[in-house]
Amino acid sequence: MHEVDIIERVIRNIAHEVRNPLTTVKGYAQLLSQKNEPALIVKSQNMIIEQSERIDTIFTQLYDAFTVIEDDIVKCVFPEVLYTVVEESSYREYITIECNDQFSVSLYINRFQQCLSSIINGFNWKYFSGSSLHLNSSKEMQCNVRFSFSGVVFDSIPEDIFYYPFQCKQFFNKGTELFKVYCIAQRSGWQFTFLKDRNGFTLEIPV
Amino acid sequence: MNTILEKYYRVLIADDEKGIRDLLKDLLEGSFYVSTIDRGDTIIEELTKNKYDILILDLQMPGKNGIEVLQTIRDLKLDIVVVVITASNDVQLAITSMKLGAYDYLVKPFDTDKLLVILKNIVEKLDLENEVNELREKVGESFRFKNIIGKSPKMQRIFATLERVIDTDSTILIIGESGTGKEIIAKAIHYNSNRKQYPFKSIDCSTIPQDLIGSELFGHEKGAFTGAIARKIGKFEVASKGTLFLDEISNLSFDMQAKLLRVLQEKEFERIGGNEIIKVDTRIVAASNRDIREMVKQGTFREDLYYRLNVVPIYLPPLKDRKEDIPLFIDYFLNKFTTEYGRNISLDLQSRLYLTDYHWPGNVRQLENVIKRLVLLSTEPAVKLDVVKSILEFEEYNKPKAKILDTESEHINQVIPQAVVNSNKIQDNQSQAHEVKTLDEIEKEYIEKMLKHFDYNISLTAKAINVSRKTMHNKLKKYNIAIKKTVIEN
Repeated sequence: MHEVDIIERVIRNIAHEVRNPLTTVKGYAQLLSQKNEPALIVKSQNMIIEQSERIDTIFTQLYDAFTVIEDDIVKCVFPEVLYTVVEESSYREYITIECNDQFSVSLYINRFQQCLSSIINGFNWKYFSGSSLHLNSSKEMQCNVRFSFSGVVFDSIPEDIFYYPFQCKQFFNKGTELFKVYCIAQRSGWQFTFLKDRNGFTLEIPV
Repeated sequence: MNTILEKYYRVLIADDEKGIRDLLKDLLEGSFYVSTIDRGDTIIEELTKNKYDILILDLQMPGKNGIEVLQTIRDLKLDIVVVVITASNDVQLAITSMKLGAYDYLVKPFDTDKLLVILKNIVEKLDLENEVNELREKVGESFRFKNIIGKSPKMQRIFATLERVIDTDSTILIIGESGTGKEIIAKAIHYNSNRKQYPFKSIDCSTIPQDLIGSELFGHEKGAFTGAIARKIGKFEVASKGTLFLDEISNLSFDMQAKLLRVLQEKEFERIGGNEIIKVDTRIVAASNRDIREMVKQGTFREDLYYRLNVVPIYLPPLKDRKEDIPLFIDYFLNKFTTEYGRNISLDLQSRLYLTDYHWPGNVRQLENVIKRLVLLSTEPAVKLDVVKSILEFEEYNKPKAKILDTESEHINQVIPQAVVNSNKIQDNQSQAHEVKTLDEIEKEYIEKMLKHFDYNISLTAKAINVSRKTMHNKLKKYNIAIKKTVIEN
């Protein structure tokens, strides 16, 4: 896809996202001039403040997604990195890991940990209660990680989701989580795609 | 908003954004019953479970997007007006939404005033629709078979036949004497059928000149003939999907019969002076007071058209052949006119029996007119037999003359008996008039008597004989009727 097209899609999605809180801000501002009820005045002020902060959060999230993580390539035992991130998360009981063997790779370890953490901690476990995540890692010509969720199919996310920062908010606590993973993968030379049956993702890291 | 919208309709706000749900709820709650929903996949369930009039729908919703929701609403034919709100300004989305039946489309961040204007228009539309439905229901109710007077076995058989064919598209031919209620039966057919939400139109083929009847039935294009200054939509087109009642069809010219046959066969026609073929699905109910079979034999009515029309023949019996219904009609009309004119009039038993036994050559219409006159002109609360007799005798006497009188004189003749209520002189006057008097003389005499009866009050007299005050003054001038001073003061 042409870079300009990508930029257009990203901006369109950001505009879409910002228009929602803007509608609320504008609407309550108009309501203030129409209805002179003390309770409504307080509510309108609160809503305007809340939604303004939300707009700020949207841009913070985006900035966060675009920000380059300082990192160096480090040689590490890949399955151990996986275990460490999972163990540190609050959702380890829902996650199983399957590795062929203990293999070493050289990779941007902080960036990888950030990607893994975004998928695990960003997923809306509360909403999709009962679902679980199976991590499968293997090494051939490259290091492959399959993130397969059970009980969830990401079928309502379009194929080109990665150009729409907020589209996946139905599945993730923050709409920008997958976008962030994608941005990191792009910067690091990794391949990040949907699994064929759309119940998860695959991350391919050249080694 | 509260002052604009007096009625409360139910609005469902579907948006995954809590801020927008809150805003719209705060904005609309004074004028509507408002509910909210935050997922697209639960909207249809909510709409089928509870009755809503308006749906404010965000296009980007978890579970099911707005376009899919609109498609389902259309597929399930849910009766709801949808206003789409979206943060996307993609024109294609707007077009798709409108194609799927959305009423309007707003892009966020929209002006709340704009939304209120849209809702106000929707409320006006819903009010109008409700009004039309209520009226349609009211009209339909009065034409339910159970509400049509006809307890006699003959009428019950007719209703049973109609019940069987009511929802088919069969053409129905009603044959019956004048005044037997052919149009009421035609309306009953329409309002009891599955076409009732579409128009019922009628055309009396005997009152419209044959030159114009084609234009009335099929319409015409601008410039089709001299005087066709604009396009006119014909009754066939207006009544499409509904029912067209062709009264006194035996009066149609041969040429027009051929055109009508084509529409019945092909279900299509062209407006006069036009090339466009217009397809219609109009049910035809025709009526005649003449025996069309006889006309076919004589060669004055097309045989093929007769068979096309005569799919379901209904023979409405004259009133004298269903005497069981006469007391019901008497009570119905008595109640109708005493309420309408605010008079407390009743009929004694002898009068009722006499009316029931009468042969009613003018059928129900005549009975209606007689009761109306009794209610309007009776000076006593209980109408006695001699008054009833005098009115009916007068009817008999006037029957042949009525056809040559103009409309105004007809009205006058209809009320002549009042002039002689409580007096036996009427018969003398009638016999004299019958022998020597001209119409003008009868009219003059009648007006003088009516004036006297109403104590020379012109307004009351004019009202009683069903003419305007202006006409009344013209008549006074024409017949040089002396007016008492009290009249001038009045």
